[in-house]
Amino acid sequence: MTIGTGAVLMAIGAGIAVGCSAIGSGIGVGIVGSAASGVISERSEKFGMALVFTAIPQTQAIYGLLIAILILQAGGFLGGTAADIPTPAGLVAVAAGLAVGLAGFSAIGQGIAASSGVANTAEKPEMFGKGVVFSAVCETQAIYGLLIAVLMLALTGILSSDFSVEMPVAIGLVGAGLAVGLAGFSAIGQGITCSSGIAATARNPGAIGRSLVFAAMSETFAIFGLLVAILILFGLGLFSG
Amino acid sequence: MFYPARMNSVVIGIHNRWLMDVTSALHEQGELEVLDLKKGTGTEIPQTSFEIPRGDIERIISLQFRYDRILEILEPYEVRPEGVLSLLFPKDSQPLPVRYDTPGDVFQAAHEMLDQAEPVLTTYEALKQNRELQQVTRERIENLNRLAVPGCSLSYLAPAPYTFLVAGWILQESLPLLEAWFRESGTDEIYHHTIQNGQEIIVLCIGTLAMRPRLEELAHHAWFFRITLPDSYTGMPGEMIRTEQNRLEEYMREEESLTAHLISMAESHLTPLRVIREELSIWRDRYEVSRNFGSSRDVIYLHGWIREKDQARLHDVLRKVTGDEFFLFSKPADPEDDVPVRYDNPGWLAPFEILTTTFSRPRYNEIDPTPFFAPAYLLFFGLMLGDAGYGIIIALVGWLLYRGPGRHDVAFRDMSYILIWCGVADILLGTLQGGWFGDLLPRFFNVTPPFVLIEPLNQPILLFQIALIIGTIHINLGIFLGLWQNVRDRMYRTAIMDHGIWFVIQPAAVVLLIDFFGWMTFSPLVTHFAILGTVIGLLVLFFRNGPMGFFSLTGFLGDWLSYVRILALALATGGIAMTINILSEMIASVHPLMIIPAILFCIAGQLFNLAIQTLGSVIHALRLHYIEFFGKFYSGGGKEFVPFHEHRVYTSGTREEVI
Repeated sequence: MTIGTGAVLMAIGAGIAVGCSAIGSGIGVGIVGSAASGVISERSEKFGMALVFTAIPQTQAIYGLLIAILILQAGGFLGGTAADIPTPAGLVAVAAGLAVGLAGFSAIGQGIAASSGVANTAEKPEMFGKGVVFSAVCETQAIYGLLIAVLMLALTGILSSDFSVEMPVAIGLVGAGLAVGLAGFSAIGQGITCSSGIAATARNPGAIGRSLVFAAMSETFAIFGLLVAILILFGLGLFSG
Repeated sequence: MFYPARMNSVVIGIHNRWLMDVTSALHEQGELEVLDLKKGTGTEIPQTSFEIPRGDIERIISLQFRYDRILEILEPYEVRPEGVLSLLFPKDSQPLPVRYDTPGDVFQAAHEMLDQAEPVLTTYEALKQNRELQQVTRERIENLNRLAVPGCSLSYLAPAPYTFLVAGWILQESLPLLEAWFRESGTDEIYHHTIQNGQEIIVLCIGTLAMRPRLEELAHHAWFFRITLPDSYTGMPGEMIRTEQNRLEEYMREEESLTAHLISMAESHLTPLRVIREELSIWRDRYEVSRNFGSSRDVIYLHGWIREKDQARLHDVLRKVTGDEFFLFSKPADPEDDVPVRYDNPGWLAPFEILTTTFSRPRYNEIDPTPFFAPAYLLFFGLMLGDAGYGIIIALVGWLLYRGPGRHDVAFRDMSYILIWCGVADILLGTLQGGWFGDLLPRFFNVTPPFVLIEPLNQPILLFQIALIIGTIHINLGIFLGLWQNVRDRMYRTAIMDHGIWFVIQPAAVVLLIDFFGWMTFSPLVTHFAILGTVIGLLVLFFRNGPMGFFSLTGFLGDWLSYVRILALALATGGIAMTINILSEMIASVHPLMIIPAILFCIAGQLFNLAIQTLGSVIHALRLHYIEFFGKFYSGGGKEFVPFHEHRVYTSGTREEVI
């Protein structure tokens, strides 16, 4: 059996998807996990609460895994033999991997916010809901990455194992993947704002609305990335079927 | 129900002979928030502080302290049912129909109960003493075991006329310290003998009486653990060990008997103790609330907030208690005042208030978003999780929690109520998405799920469009509510420039975008109107917000696109569940016997997916409300309405039975 370039690229796409998002999640979980350890060293009864916050930045890795599995399934990898895949189709998988994988670094911002959530909730249990919401704000970038990755795979037909996508379209999609993926790093700034927002809300519960507005401002840059990615998809004629 | 309850500010005057009767009646009624009269009422009311009867409060505090002490001792000995089933289906403990009408009755009952419960303290003291004796005995047995070496008689440790002996032990790592001490002390005058015993070294040092200070000094070193035994101990250690062990067994039997006695007393005394403790707290609250009252020679004044619709009942209570010897001034709340906020939702909606409060309680005169929140939250949750199998589990867990711990904890009850409805929403919307533990049914049982309208993994674009349509409706509902609120407050300029303008920008932008992308062709008139609407909209935005008007546009776009998380989460649930099923299938295909690990893997994986995706759906459905929806009309920040209300757990407050 000969493995073609397309299959190799598809495997790389799956690897980027799960690998990059797992790095992001790992760092994010590490940040919140260290805060959680500090909290439970003093107050072991807070373990359940700390565990919820620690679980929040894991989602990015799950999104990456999802895209990786969808790519592998479409490429026939899960059946034991990779299909004969044209190079452009493989490149689309790389683009999807970049979109969800790079956007997975948003978990770092989420970890920063969640660590503040753990610390503040340990002192004020009523902060739990607000801390979780602030932490969830930073996941939007990952969701945009996942969305674009799914759209790429669905609109090019790869999700249903139709590999007829053309090379210029596939190269263009790499640009879309980079746009939304790299814009996902804006979540790190957002995480810093959310972390301060949690602290501000713990001091003054009335500050939640304005703090969320500040936090949402960093998201503007992720929206730029998403918008550019959608425009690329549109410009490549994918929305017109 | 779309606004918090209408409140009235009331000032009540009663003759001072009705003070405790009225206070008790208001406490039972639990509908009036009592304010501090010294902080002003807006009316000309005498504001002389009311003198609290200190003697009664001090008596209550003293009794509470004694009750707390006894309860603290007895509660660990309460026999509680164990196991998961008893946690989920706890036995009903009905509050007792108990009420004491006067503080005198409570004091009398409290003292009678204390007399009955007095043995608890003596039994507990005896138990403490017994445990101390056990500890001492165990230590002695340990030390005797250390000395149980051939030829060592305990009589050597007893005081002697010419010599002084110190026995003890050190840890292996302290040996250099001991050797250094010997070098410094001079071994000629102190005879010592060491015995290795595992990681411990037994040390026996003997010297003349002149060496006693040096030997005492050895015993004071932190690394030296001295062995001291009563002078009466004679003979070989083995014999004494047997004696001590017999004594220890005797202590343990006594402990069992004392513990059984405490368990029995817990069974008979805990309930009456808790009942009276609760009554004492209630009476203390009644006394302490009077700090907020004012008084003149014969009249006591109260000031507070009450729900408009409860005011008639307040009148009735006052009339019944005082026989019309009262006056009541009332005026509707001025929204400019610091009016406490009480939700005004029907019972089926009320549990969702907890989610609104998590963000912030509405201000008085501000729209209560709960009626809009609840249905949309369930819709989003159901769409995001999108798996009927998971929905069944969630509804079941919610029901078990509602039936179990939810019966005793209001917050728990509300959360489990919400969980049940989330499960139901997920069953319905999961069925429409064909999710039954992912693709478990078609993959393993060749069954096509019924009633499927849309499959997220196969039709992501359709779900993408649905998510954006839902987002459009939801955001516009928020904008409309903001518009409504501002019109109601007569803030017409804000209504038009912050809210109304979006109803111009949106359709104009839609026409231009459709025209730009060539999806449809419009007549020139429509296009011109769209251009005009867009220009006007942008001018208003930039006029209103300055350069930040740009962020209003991107913010709106971001809010709208944010709803695609509905698609993303639905895909994630279905995709991960499908992955687990595929991996389970691969494990099972290795060998026929591998079917068992495959099933276990499938169950564990599905439970993991259920937990992580439920968490995600809860959080993101909340986020869509708190940020995208609330941001359009809601700020919150209202003060909680805290009525003067009896908090009863162990008693029902009815006058039927006195313990």
